[in-house]
Amino acid sequence: MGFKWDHFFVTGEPMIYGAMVSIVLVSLAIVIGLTKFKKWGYLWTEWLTTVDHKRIGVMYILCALLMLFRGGVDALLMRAQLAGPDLKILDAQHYNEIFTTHGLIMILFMAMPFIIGLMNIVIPLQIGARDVAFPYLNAVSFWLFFAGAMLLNVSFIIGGSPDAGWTAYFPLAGKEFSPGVGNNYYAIALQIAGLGTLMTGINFIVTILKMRAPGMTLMKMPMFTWSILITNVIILFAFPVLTVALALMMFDRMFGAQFFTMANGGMDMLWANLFWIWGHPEVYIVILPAFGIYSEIISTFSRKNLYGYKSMVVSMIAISALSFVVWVHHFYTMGQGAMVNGFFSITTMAISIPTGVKIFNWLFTMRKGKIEFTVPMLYALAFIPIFTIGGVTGVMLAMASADYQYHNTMFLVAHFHYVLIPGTVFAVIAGFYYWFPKVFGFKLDEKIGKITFWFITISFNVTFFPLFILGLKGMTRRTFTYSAESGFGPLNLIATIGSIGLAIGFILLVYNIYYSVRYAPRETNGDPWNARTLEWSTSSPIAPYNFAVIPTIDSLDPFWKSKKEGTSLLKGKIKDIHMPSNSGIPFILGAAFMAFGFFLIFEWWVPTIIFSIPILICLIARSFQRDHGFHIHKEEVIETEKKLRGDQYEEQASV
Amino acid sequence: MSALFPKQQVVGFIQSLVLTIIALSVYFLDIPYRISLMILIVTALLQGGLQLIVFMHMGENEDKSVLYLNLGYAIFVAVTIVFGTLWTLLWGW
Amino acid sequence: MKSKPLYSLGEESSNRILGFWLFLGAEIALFGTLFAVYLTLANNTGSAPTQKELFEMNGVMIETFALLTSSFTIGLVVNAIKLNHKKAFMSFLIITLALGAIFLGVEITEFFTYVHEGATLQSSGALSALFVLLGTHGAHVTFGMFWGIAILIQTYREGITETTANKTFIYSLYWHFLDVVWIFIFSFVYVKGLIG
Repeated sequence: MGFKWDHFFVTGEPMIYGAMVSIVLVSLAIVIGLTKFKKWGYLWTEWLTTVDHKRIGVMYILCALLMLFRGGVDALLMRAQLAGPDLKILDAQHYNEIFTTHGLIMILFMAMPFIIGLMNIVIPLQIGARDVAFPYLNAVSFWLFFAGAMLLNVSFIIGGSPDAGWTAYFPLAGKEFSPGVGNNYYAIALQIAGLGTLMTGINFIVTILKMRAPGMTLMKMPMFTWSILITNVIILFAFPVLTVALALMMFDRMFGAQFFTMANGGMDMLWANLFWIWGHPEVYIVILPAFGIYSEIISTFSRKNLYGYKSMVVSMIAISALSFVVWVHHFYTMGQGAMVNGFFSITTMAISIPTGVKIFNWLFTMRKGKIEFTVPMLYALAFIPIFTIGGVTGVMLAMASADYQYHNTMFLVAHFHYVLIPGTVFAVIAGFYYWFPKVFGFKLDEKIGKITFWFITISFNVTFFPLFILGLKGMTRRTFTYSAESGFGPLNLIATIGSIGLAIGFILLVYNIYYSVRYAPRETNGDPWNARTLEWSTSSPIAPYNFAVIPTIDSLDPFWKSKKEGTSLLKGKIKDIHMPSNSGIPFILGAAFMAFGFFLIFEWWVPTIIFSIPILICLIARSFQRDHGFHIHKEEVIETEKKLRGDQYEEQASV
Repeated sequence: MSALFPKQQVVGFIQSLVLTIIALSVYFLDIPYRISLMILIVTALLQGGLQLIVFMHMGENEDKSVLYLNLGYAIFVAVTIVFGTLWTLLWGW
Repeated sequence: MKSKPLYSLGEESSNRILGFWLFLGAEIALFGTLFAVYLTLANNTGSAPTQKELFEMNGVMIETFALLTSSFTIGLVVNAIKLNHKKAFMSFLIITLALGAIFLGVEITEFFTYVHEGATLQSSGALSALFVLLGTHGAHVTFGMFWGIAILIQTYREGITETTANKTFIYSLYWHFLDVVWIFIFSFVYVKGLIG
């Protein structure tokens, strides 16, 4: 029958009771607010049923920011518990749940949606297209992600969070040692969100390959677009492995299979193997878009073409291929022999080389350029040296024999935070500042932004550098406390102080959004940074159809070229524009998956089967649907262009 | 009537039947293990290729270079996963 | 001058076909992983029945020839599109689905037989891997049956249009792919298991 009702609500923890109360209050506030201001209709027609890539991107990023808050609170709780020896803020069980959710949320529900959100907003605009190849599928991707995120997020109050680490190794993650519902949440929530991501992979590869503006050959694409193309290729081939691994976990935990058990022919190490075959490409999925963002920002704010375009492309292709042959470095100490470890040490060291090429290309881009120290550029400049520290410690870890000393110590924790934060997190923050005015028509405040930058950058190093030393001194990862005799106290205290600085930084980031909504001057020209690529040639806010006339291009950085030469990109007559229709099915599908997933997690089979029915109905409805979209008539397009561009309308387009 | 059964498809079908029979023969004729495996690999790959080129019209597609690249990458990943897993967990030293 | 076939006439149609080929690439990675799991655990039979004891060549041969022939007949369906021959389209599609049903009937019977002989998903690592590999392929075939019925109904009602032709072509790619996967299952699970 599955889990009983007394396992339903998590009890006995004051912080969790507090969270339950806040969730109820916030949900009530949202419902009451929407009703009072009569916004339910608006919410449904403009957001819940949208298939517009720009709106979908905004929703992804909003979720990512909320998850950044949640993952950050997890981090602060951990750092509070570790601030001194033998503290009693969190017990071991609670600590385990927190480091597990911290990892899951930050990687899968913060970094991934932030990147996917940015790719959604920017890619069609950068390639001169009106939307992605499959707008309906795009909406499905978002709502599946949302369903998975919601499921994972309720786990800590309903049933209990997963607690076996974000890597969920067996046998700990199996039924015998984790009998509760927690790791069922892991298996199902990640599975649902992962389906959405795979669909995104297909969508963006077709979009980039087939929907570029005339004249934009592959080697004339912006570097961010290249990075997204390659990232989505990795997604396409890596995520199916996760799908299988999670399904096998589900069969073991819920149906008594023997994949990862310790008796009857199971092999627990098989889990680690499968997880990391996905897991290593996954970290390249989160870093390549960051490299693309930095390429855009560094080129724009050095007022120069990106140096070494071809080698940038080749290096990313090399990284994507190599990323599938390094995975064993995540478990050098698990018992396979020296020959295996040796092979993977070599491939792991090799994969650092293409990244090194990119670092030099960024430096050469800046050389003899006119550097403008805007907030996005500051993050890019900080990224280069700090990420390099993360990278070279990665090469240290790559040597299998040396790794026997570093593995699963705080040295490893410091390494991956030194690549993930200056790499991915700084990049998405920089991208957020950079593209924000394109979407909303005003910049985030530069002064607050710079203060935020310094808080975050300095505090990051104060938090994580001591962890290298702690690791070398012998402090293991994933431990909820340590003794005074160990001598780990002082460095941990420094790290905790740093984490408070990071918290202040992120509060300032959010405050900047509020402040700028209220006070920032509204721009009308759509090109606040004097930038180079096609997305900046549109108005801000952007017309629903993106481009009144699809531009024809003939070079890299086509917008820069058109500005320098005084020519218009928009040559040609305005015609009726075909647009895809909104649809409520993706939202309903997401809700159905959430319900289906929830009951599956609790192993309540009857409701599970019942909720598979709306899923099937949605698929059948979509198959029989013959909605071919609608047209925006050319008169309306002209009106919109006049409204959005004002005087520049005449210069930009002809009728 | 014969337009309903195009020659290419019929020939392809017969070829796949022949390849299947060859694969089956390693069982019915008790061929030694290693040679059997070789025969199975060859027949499976040939049949796979047959399906892709003749039946799925891979070469007629306007995006065929993308399709070949996609197939190549997919096979690279699948082979790496199968042999990487077997080497790491079973055969390696 | 060869004109484009009806199923890939417009930009949207050819995008959908490309998208589906990419999905098949992902499915290759998926089934590759399932094969890796099976081959790793194939000898971990514990105290449960082994593959050599369980496998019956007769059922395997029926399944193989059914699926192979259905791959031929779905190709005839696509050919019927080119000839705009609705009756041939419907007939060959119905035959394809009938052969798929035969495949599934044999496979389900096979699974019940195994369970009856004491070989279940829970019995050993090898059997878990076997059931999940075969079961995933079988689930894909089952989904394909429902998808095929939907296409049958839609083409019956709307005729052979650009939309139904495109959907049918994509369906045929799916069906051929499942046959390719079966060829590998047949070779490296059943035949290998019986000669091993």
